Amino acid sequence: MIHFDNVTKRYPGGHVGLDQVDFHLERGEIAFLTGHSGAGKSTLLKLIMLMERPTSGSVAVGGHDTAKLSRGQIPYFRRNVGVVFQDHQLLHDRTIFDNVALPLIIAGYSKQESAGRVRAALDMVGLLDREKNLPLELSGGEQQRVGLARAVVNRPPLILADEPTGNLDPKLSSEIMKLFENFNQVGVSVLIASHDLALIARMQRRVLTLNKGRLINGQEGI
Amino acid sequence: MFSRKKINKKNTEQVAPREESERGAARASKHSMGYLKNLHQQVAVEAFKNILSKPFASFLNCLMIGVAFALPALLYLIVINLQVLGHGWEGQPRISLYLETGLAEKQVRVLRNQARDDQDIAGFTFISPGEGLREFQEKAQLSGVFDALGFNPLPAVLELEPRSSFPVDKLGELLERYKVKSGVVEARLDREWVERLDAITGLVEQFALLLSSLLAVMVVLTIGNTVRLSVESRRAEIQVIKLVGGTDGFVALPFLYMGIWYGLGGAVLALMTVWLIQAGVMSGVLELTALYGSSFDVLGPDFTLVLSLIFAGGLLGLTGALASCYRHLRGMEQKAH
Repeated sequence: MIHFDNVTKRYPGGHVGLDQVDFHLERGEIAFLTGHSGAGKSTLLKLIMLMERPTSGSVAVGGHDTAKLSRGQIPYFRRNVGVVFQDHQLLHDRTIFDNVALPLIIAGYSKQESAGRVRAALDMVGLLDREKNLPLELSGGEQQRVGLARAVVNRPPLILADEPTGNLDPKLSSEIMKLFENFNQVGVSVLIASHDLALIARMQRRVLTLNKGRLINGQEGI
Repeated sequence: MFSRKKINKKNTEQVAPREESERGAARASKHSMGYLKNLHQQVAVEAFKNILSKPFASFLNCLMIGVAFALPALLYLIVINLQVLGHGWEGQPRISLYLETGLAEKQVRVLRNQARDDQDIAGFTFISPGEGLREFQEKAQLSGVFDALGFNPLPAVLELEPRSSFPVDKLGELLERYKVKSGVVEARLDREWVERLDAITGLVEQFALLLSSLLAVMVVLTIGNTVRLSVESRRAEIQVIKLVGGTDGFVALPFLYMGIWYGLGGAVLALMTVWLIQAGVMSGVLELTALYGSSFDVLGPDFTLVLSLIFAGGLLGLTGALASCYRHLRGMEQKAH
């Protein structure tokens, strides 16, 4: 699903985000990406989302060489990747329903057409009864679950998460992780960046460890 | 699993809907007409509500655009009114014969009889010096001046009205025919005045065009700036939309509608301003035309003006928003990277 081949990302000013990173994430696999802050976790996710382009090496996602995608094709590419952010990135002036429906509306569905899928996604994260609320009326854990619903509503084959449990207590964190595992069980590939080592250890999954932009552990699958 | 064909959208557009159904997302065919109509409707309404949510700031914006539209609109009104003055001046130009002062009654009668018998003259009006003076005193409130003068300086005037079918290019000959008659000091065609008016009208018209293009640039810049501020304030929202796969067009659409609404709002305000000014000027003009013993309606905004203002408003608004979106959405992307 994800193929990094000798990828280096150097920022203007000399900072090295990623240094010769090689790894593969298989279809239907779930893996954690860890490392101290500044180790390159976000850079790696941004390269997959095409928010950044590598300085050298190649990144392929879902069989596409991302270097070959033009600017105009990027939106269509992104519709195949669900993303969950640490700070949820919900739109505060829209209801939970509208937030989750956003990827479907963008992909060309009317509100009526998307209703069924939005409710299914909300049901999966246990927030079906909150669809008319605004994001700020929900707790942090609930907001994160809305973010999760929005990431999966389009049924993407790949989900990326950037510190999805960063602001949550251990109990809520395990709940969120359980949801990721559920999605993985139906065949979705999942890559989660997190520095919560205790939580990662409990999950007993493949772990990729970054240190100063280099991948020091987990190049090969378990 | 990854829908490859959808990504290569440009080459295989027809494949996209089928691809959708393969993924189990059966019903919606992407970008069907119904969907686009629906989306545009929804976005247009939301953009309108957005503008209404900040009534004062939005009103000021519209007012600024409105003033810019009102100036050329007023000039246009002046032009069409001058044109009416020039061309609609009771059909044929008249010939005014200024008679010698103290011309004997008998000679005047000879002239009047000649005019009456002339086939080319449809009618005439004799204004004696006394009548002329009375008219002046009544309407121009200049009685004091004439009193101080101690005598009536006005000549008697015989106004000739050529028959309506008289060829316009022969008017000069007709003028000469009466100019040489005894007792006539001076003969004038009203047309000279009409020609001068035409020249002035032409000048105003050119000035209006020049001013319009300058103000059009101003409107584009004003709306562009307003849109820029809005793009900046909705940066977070734009980034989320882009990350979940929104195209540039999808991101820009609300801002384009915003520009159109501002342009239309400005056009409507401009029309209201012009109507108010017309109503104000009208009362003054009524007095003035009464002086000339004629009735003249000041033309208000006509269909052409209303239509062009609305059209220009929408188009310039869209242009400003497009330019602004193109610049700032791209700029935002570079900053984000």
